[in-house]
Amino acid sequence: MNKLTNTLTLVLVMWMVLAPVAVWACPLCVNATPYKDGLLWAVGLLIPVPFILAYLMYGWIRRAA
Amino acid sequence: MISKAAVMTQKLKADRKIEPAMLGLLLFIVVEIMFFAGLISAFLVFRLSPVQWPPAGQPRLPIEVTAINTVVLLLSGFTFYKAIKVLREGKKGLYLSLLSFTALLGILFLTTQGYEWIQLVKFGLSVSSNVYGGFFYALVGMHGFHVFGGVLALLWVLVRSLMGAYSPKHHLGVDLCRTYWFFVVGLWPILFVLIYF
Repeated sequence: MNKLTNTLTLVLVMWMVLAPVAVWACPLCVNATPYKDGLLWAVGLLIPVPFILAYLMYGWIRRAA
Repeated sequence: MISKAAVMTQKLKADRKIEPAMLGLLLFIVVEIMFFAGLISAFLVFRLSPVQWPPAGQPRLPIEVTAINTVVLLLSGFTFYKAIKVLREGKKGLYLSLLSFTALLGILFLTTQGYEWIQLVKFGLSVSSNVYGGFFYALVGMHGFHVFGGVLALLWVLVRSLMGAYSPKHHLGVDLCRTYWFFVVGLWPILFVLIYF
């Protein structure tokens, strides 16, 4: 089981390295819109927000308890 | 005669470090932050793209009046902060004055925002006019809706304070209202800079 998992992981990593276009969902769509800069900023803003909030909540609960 | 279970419950309540109501409110605020982060990120898609923003032919947003209104809202946050401080010191008269002043500042903010929207609608900026109007009213409107909720909570806390519900040691309701109010006050400058500049 462990060997199978390792093999699958290796194949997946090799696939991601060797065929980036295949794993990129829609590279043409992003570049086709005039809003691509805004999209990148929007995604960049949104991704860390849950992590920051979870960290702040954890810090608050730890400090209060 | 007090039962053993009741005594245990009282002891557990006394030992409690985190008030469940405060934890619930903080979780609610976390959800609200995610909600506004979603709206802001959608707005940024248009705002930070090389496409002309605001679109041509749109009325100019009243930056000066809104800047003064921002100061009004920030001042309300300060007066609420001072109100809690004097309540803890047992100065009830001053506490009630500061809390009333906070509520008045909140109402003044909402009134000015409402007047601004009426003017903008007269100039042709409505929710359905274009994506600019849609975002403006969605972001500013949702914040205004939250301020309205905060003002209602403030008035409720004020009425309960007049009835003597809070003391220097027991003022959870005021703490909850303050936390929510700080959230709406802290959110506004971010929205103001993003939308009006």
